[in-house]
Amino acid sequence: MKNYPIFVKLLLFFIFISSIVSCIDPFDLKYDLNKTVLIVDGVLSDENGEQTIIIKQSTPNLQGLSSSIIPLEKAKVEILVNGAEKIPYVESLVNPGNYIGPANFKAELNKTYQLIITTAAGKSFQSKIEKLKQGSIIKKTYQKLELNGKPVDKNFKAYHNIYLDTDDPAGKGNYYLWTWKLYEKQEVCRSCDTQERYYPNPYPGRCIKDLPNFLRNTIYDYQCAGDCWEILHSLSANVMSDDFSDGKTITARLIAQVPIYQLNAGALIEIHQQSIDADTYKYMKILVDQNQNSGGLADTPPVSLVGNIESANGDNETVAGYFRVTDESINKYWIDRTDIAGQEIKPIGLLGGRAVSLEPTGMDTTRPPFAPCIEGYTRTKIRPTGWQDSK
Amino acid sequence: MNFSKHLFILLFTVVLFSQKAFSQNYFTITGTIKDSTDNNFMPNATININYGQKLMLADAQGKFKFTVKQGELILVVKYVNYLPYRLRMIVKEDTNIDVYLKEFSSNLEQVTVSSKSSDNNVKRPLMGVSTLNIKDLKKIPTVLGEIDVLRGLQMLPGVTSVGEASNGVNVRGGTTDQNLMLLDEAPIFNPTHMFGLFSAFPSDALSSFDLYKGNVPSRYGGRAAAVLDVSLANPSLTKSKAQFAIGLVSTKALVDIPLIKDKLGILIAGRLALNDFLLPLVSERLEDIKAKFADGTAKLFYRVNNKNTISFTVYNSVDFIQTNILGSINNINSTATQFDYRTLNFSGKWLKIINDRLNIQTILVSSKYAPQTILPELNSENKVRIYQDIKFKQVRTNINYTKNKHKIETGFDATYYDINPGELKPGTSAGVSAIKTPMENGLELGGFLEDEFDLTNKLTVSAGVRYSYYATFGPNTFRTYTAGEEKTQSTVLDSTVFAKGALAKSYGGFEPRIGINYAINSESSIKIGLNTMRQYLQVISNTTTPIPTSRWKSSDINIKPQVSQLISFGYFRNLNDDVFEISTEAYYKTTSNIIDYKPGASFLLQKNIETELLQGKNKSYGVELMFSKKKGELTGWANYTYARSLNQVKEGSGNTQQINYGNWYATNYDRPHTFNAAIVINQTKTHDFSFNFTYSTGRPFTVPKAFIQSNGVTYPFYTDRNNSRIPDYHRLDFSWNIYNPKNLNRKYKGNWNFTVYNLYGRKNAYSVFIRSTDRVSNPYKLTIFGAPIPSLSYNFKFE
Repeated sequence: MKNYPIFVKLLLFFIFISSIVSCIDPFDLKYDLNKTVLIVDGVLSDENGEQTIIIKQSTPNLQGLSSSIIPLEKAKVEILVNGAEKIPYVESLVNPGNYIGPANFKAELNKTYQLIITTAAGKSFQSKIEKLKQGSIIKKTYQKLELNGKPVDKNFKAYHNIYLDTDDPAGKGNYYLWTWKLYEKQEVCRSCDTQERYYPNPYPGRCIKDLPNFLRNTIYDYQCAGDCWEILHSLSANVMSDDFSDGKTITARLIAQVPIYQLNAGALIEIHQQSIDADTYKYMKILVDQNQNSGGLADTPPVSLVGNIESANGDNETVAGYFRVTDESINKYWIDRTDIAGQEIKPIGLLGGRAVSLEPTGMDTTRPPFAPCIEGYTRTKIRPTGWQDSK
Repeated sequence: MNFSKHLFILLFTVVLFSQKAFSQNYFTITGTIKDSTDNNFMPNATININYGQKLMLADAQGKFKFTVKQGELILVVKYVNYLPYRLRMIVKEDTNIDVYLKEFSSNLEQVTVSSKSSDNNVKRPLMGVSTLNIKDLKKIPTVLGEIDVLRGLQMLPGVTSVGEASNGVNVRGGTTDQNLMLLDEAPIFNPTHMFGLFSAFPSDALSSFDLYKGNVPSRYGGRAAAVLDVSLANPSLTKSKAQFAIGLVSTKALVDIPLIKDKLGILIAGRLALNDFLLPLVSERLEDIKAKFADGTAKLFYRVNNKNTISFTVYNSVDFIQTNILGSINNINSTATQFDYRTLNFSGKWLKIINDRLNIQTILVSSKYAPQTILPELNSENKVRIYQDIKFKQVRTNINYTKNKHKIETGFDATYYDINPGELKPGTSAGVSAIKTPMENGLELGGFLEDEFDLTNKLTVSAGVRYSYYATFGPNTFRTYTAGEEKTQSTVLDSTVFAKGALAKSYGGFEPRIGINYAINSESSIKIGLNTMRQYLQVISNTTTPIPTSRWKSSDINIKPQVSQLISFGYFRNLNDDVFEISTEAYYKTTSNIIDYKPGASFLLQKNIETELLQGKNKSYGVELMFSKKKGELTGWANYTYARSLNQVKEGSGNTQQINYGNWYATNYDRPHTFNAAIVINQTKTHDFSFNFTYSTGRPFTVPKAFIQSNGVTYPFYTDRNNSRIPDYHRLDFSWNIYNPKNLNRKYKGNWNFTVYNLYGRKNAYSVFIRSTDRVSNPYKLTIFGAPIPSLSYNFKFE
């Protein structure tokens, strides 16, 4: 090292210090949870379709080290319209804790709505009185390919940024909430763990440990019996106020970052634009800031969330969550992935980053079987409107 | 029996001497104290007459004057880092003595930390004054080779921060914006580069810095916690000098040129850091960060004649950072978030010496701090900008008068503030509106009088008072709200328009500044201090540490000024011929009208910011123990501090007007136990080592008390603020300076500095937070410097 010039020495030092300096590590935080919280996730939209109020309860367990969030069943859920008419919601048989409004019930302009909940234990809660506010529609949705951006989903750096434009109505006090659902064509409908194989009967089939595979160390995937779409949901609440854009066209709002799940297939994104009020905006903004935007050098210390639902008897029951009455604009946009042609991109796939590994065909011609596409929150066999088959 | 005998002898002596005094002749001794190398005056050097019979400080011109009776005189002149000057003479007539002090640097003996002259701490009635010598600062370990005033200060008792990326320091439980930071008289509003990683003060060009955290001289005002007064070195009037330093972060240069010998000189220093391409090497997380900074300063010094000097300083600092780790502007759509902030300061000082007893100093200051957020738009060349600035203009006059036992300082200052709280400049953007928040115009006036005098042989008093006045003027519109209710849109009572120049609101009051020193003997003393300060301009921020673009807000109809009151007690002792120094200080401070914020508050471009804020009070108290060894091969210090800083916010009865139900809660920087130690081992002329160790209790943060779900994602649910603490912080640093022995007597001098920051690589938490990934919320820890950071820099100079 003696005869090297200074700059080589400096460089060597730099390589030395390039061992991690600033970093984020998981932290062993011992919680001391002590609050029981009633959680309400309720939307009354002006769109046709099922109106749902989801009620859960968060209770501390293991001496406060963790909490369990369980659906609150057998509650009496009603919506008071214009302070007079009570619309009863009925608990779903499939999803406990989900309360469904009557068919054709939806929010209308110039009417007031108030959520009233009475738990099986006799505690009652009510929301503030909410009104529908006319919002605006999504004007334009577009995409931009990002090949080396900030890593998203399993550090994947190539993705499509999806943007939208919308006209903000004149007058301040317009607030937006965007959520989305992404439809990707799914080829694999069942995966079995190492040592296991899939047997389709009885419906919907199951994975069973079987002898010939005892030493196998790979997962087996099984193709779908017919068309199937994976549904991915937005995980963050994207909210915005028109404070700085009043009456203008809100331009290039980033809605989603969609990794290149598949190379030769496009995807359909369904964007929901909801018009919300100032209090909901503030609530959602705090929720996001203190959980999804945390970890910077200058975080805002977290604060208590105060929603628009409170105990009707005036006691100190803690309630989190929101009942919001929203005007909704839905836009379906086809993500065209032909713009990645010529780029060397390894697709992330729809199995959490794992490549498809089908059970090999062998002597047994009944194997491998197909697996059914089971309808639910993350999968559908109903072809989404707007879906384009790849050529 | 014995006692009465002693008493008799004492009385007899007193009578005898007083009789004798009438028949004696008195003579006046005058003199000037200068640096032997560059003939620069040495203000504040201590003059010890006849073994402590009389103690005084040289004035701003390095001059002193006193009267003694005929006979033998023993004079000792001392200044930190200089060899003491001793003189024994027989006084027969008025005499002038010019004293040339020699620097230690060519000597092995080293003086470290603490008060300006070695026995100042025992003799002067000031408490809570810390002076870290600039040479010591250069010896103690650094981060990536950048010598840093603010990091150095944190090795002293009573000075803490929220962590390694803190944008400022907290002094005795105060917020970062409660410190008045002056660089050659001009205020520095943002004291750091690269978001807290490096300090903005040009370390190479500094001559001294004083931190006043207890008794603040009455000439200072406008901040509630402390004053950091940093002075640039005066240009040499005799000798040219050029020095350069190459470090990993920045490249530095300093030139010192006498333009007219003994008359006019200029000092220019600059620093440039463009090495951000190296950041991804440090950490992948820093990959998309672009950060550059530069600062430069120039000082012109003109000695008009023996009675007049004029100096002129300019300081400019520029920072550019592109990052997402400081947050983004949610309501403006952009592809990146960039911060650009600049400081441009001018100050001019004219010193006029009327006679040996009286001088007048007049200072003019202009300071501008302009941060902006730049937001590039998608598919466009356009950049949306959010611009802010503070313009500060000040005129100040100090009159210093010395007579007999009195050192009197009086004067006034007038400051005009012109604040642009925020302006949204959309450029050609189709989606962003142009918004302008009203300018804030304010005038701060201060008048002060202070006298430091010996009441008796043992009792020295510094009695000062400052009157401070603040007024805010139109054009502006201020709302008034229903008394006792939360300030919101719906409680607005009235809205008053104030025309240009119309007085909207004024505040003011007296600020007593009292210090009393009782010398138990020549080596120990006890002190009491009382200090009141008012602050009319503050940072509005709801982040753990303010960001460079945090808004500065002046007091108005709805925002009351902060008033702090501090009482402190201290015990000081010098041991072993001033080689060791021990001090203990205890303080209790209350600050009214501190500013806190409501949940989800948003300050950006907000016209009626009072609806987002709450005002409350702070109480801070603590005990600081300090031990230092100031001479010898091994020098250094160790200190332990127990300190608390608690806030209470209770504007009204409702939950929205209180924080933590109106109970006292720990501030973000409340760290009860702190221990610091620094040692310098001056082994030979060719090298020295130093070590730093620091320990402090982890700062408070908020842990959730439940978890909730929304839209299938788990989120933490919080109740009380700051209800837990992050892990304790500790760190050891090492520094090694190597001087080439061949160079010692040459014109060219070069030295290597090798530093390891965080020697044992502790992953200290900067913050602990909860973040959700894939629907699940998990706790994480953010570490800034989580590994040993070695660095090497080379400094060389030509003389």
